Amino acid sequence: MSEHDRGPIQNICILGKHLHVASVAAALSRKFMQQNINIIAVNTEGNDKSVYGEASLSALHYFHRFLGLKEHQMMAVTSATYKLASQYKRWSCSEANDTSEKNKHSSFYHSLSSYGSMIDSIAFVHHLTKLRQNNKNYDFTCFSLPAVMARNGKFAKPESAQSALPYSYAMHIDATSYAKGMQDYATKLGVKFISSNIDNVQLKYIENNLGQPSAHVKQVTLSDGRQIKSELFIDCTSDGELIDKALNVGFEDWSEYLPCDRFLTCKTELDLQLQPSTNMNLHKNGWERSFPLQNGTVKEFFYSSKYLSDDEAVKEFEVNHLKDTKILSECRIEKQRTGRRKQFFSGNCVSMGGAAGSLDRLAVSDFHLVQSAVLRLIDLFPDTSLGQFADNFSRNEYNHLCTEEYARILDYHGAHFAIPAKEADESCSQFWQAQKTAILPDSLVKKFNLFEACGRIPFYERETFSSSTWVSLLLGLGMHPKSYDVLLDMPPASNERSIKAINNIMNTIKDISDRAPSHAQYLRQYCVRRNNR
Amino acid sequence: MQSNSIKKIVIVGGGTAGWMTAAALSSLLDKTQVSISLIESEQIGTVGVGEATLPHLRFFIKRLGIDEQEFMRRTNATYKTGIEFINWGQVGESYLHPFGDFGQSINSVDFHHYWVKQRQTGDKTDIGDYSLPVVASKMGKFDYPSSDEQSILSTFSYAFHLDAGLFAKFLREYSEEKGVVRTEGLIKHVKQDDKTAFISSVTLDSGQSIEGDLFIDCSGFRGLLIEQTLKTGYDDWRHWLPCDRAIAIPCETMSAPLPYTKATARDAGWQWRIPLQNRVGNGHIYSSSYMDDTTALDVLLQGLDAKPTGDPNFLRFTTGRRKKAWNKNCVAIGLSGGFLEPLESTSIHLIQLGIMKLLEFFPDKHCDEIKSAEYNRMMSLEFERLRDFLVLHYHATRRNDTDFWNYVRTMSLPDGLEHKMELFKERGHVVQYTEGLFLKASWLAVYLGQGVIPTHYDYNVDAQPQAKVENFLKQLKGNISDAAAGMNDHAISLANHCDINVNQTPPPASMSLYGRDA
Repeated sequence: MSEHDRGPIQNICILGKHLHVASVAAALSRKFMQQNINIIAVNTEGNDKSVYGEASLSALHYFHRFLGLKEHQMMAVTSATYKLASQYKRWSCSEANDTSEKNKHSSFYHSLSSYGSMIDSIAFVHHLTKLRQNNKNYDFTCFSLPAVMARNGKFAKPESAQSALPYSYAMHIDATSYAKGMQDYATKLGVKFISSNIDNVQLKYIENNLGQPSAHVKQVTLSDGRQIKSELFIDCTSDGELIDKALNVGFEDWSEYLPCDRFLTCKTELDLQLQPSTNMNLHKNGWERSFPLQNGTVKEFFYSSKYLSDDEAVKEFEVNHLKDTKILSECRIEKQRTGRRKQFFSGNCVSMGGAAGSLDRLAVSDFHLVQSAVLRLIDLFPDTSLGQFADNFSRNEYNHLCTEEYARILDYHGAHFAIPAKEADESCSQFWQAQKTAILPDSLVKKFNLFEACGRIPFYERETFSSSTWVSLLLGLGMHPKSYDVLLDMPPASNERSIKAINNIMNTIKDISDRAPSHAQYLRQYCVRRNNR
Repeated sequence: MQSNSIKKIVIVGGGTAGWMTAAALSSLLDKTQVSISLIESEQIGTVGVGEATLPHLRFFIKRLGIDEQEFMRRTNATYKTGIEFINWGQVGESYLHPFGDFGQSINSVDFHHYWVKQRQTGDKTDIGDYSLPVVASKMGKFDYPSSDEQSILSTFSYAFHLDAGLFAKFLREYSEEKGVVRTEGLIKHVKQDDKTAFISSVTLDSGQSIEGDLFIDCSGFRGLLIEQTLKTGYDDWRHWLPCDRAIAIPCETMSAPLPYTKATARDAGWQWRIPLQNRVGNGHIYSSSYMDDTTALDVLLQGLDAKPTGDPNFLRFTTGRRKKAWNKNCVAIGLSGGFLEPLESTSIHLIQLGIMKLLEFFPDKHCDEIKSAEYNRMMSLEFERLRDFLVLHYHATRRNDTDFWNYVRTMSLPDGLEHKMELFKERGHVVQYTEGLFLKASWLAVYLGQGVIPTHYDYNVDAQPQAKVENFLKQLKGNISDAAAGMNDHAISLANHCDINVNQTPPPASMSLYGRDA
């Protein structure tokens, strides 16, 4: 293929769910603001109410910095609250749905900062393991500053917290206003937004260097009659209208590991305190979460339709969560099919979010995956030679990196089911008994085994979560190593030294947390939306 | 104490691997609970000659509480900030692979894309001119890196050239002081447990039997325990790295020591030059399929800068990797675990890594496979990534002047390497990974140094006004050259730091190759 056939892509078309289309459009328009590239964003799913809010990871800050956005503006515009941790309440299947407060011991706040610190060059987990073997147990939450602040309903910025302790935070955002904010941003940088459904997708077949025809999207016809041609299509539709229905790349089903195929979502008045954390509860047929926004509370229930009908789910949800509160937005039920596309990027079409797959939302949602995907696409941005080579570098590498990213998140989410399922007995629901016999991904089995053997996490490339976050999750959910680092038996290390250092860490954290303002107070001061809602 | 804990560790073999292991274990483990013995024989020579190292070694000696300057005095060490590769891309070409990065990214686009664009417009500035350690090395300069992160003088790290024989001797003293028991003797018999096939004891030529819970095989290429006893198996990589012989010889030193290693490609391999304080270590690594030993010795001798000060030492090896570095209750550290030629000075580093990982996954008497499997997985990954990086040096060449070079230029590559090279050739994209020794800066050094220049640069480079970029590059180059000129001569720094009466504190050590950016 001759050199002059290749050059920069001039036209990009993004289609699908408003929140995702707008985020992708914002990132691409920012990246290409100095080039003359034509970006069209089509919201194909109307006034989308499938999610009311999103709980982010701290990677969100990176995305906003990339866009050059100021955090306090984002907080105000998206009615956001801060998120310091996830609170796992009753994360065991015997306690699932036990609403009494007697099981408080199993409440654990998981922050994404590391817990404790090295003591005498030996990782924190080993000190805890050794002390535990000597019957000294600690409340694990106490070893992370953001976790403790979350429990106490506090918030401050790391710089004002004035300590060298690990401290990171994320946000809860209102999905509709976030989407609108991203759309406004992208519009200013020249992106054209359209609202219309997809009528049909037309393919073309290009012969590549191996003489094989490869399918590419030629144009998309919208229900308003418009035809959009583009060199690159980004599919952010919920069901993969382009990547699946037109290009038919195939699906790898993960429902064995991630069994929830439905989720129910609802927004009520702000009936939680303005806590800087996401509540997570196990349910006998799945799991639930809730988190506050400045203008209400988002409540979600993820379950398996095998064990619970939609009607039953709604009924139960109303009784448990909606009785004494005012509903602001109706309850909706969405389907989710857990798994991923066999190819994330096929021909000239890149899939992101729901189109790319679904991993449930235990720690990472589509919202994060879309942002991660668009930054990756920018890093590997293709040119117009996509059709010419069977082995296109951008496409191959993009597929390779996404495949690893999804596999590692599958491990992380899978652990949320696999750990409680380990202890499931006849008294537990069928849902949990079935999970007990589920086959786990090999990489997750390796993680469990090595961690239980010696408190370490085997290494894999492209983990979304660091090994210290893995360690704290496993400890927090009740998994404990059988042995500790052998160097801990060597002077100067001793139990007394460990205890002293541990107490020090706990006290420092408590002091800082005590001095910090409450989350509500912090929000009032810095982040409230000034104009009318 | 945890139950079933290891009480007796037996290290088989001295040399660099054996004594580094002994030193680390005796320094870090509780000797009231664990006894460590090392068996070596003066009848068996060790391979170590003049050795070049990587910055990570500083971390190791620091962890052991060894004073860096004393260590330098004892091992005749000089500083090293990189390796010069001569005649690799083509005869007559050379480049330096530094312990540092090239330039800095502009508007979040990697520096080398700007360099590629400049080159397309006719600017022939060497990429090395944008690296402080490259420029300083060429001027023969060395100072400790600055601790001021804003300073261009903080953009590198350093390692040593050392006398491996003296290093082993130094560590032997250190270890014996910490209670390691050295036994002189040849191993005649290895006893295994009937049921588990674990090694239970070794018997020496004297008749003495030494029992152990954990055996560390540092016996070199032959793998006395890991292979001859446990039959672990070996992956032969000679089809990718065909050099299988080496001749080493020291020579006199005629000039001030250079702060870098030289690796000069020859007709069927390459020759190293490693400057020590009092002499220069040299060696010729070659493939016996393409050159006989006599010719190889001639080539080596012709390539020396001065008179040899010793006899040539002939060595044989098979590049490759032991299928499992840790098998049952035996861990192979050093050449017994695998051999990669010292083109990028990785031998001592692999020993260090083997020891540190062993401490991380330190077993009890049962040597649980969950731990050893992860240890083996990590070591395999490290070996494979190193291998690919070494293969790149041979394969990314335009040389067609000998059969050897024709072979390596056209051979089929390990899985994934071809893909990596394509990504770079096509778009200047360097495949990134987190676990591994040689990261982006190193791949760039070799690609660009050996003439693999990307066809396309990142289109975002065009978003920056050309004049602005040119101005920035000019300034950067000037800053680097000025900063390098202001540094001390290597010989002066060396004399200062090794002077017993001068006490200067070396900068902090880390497990990174590149100084501040990594």
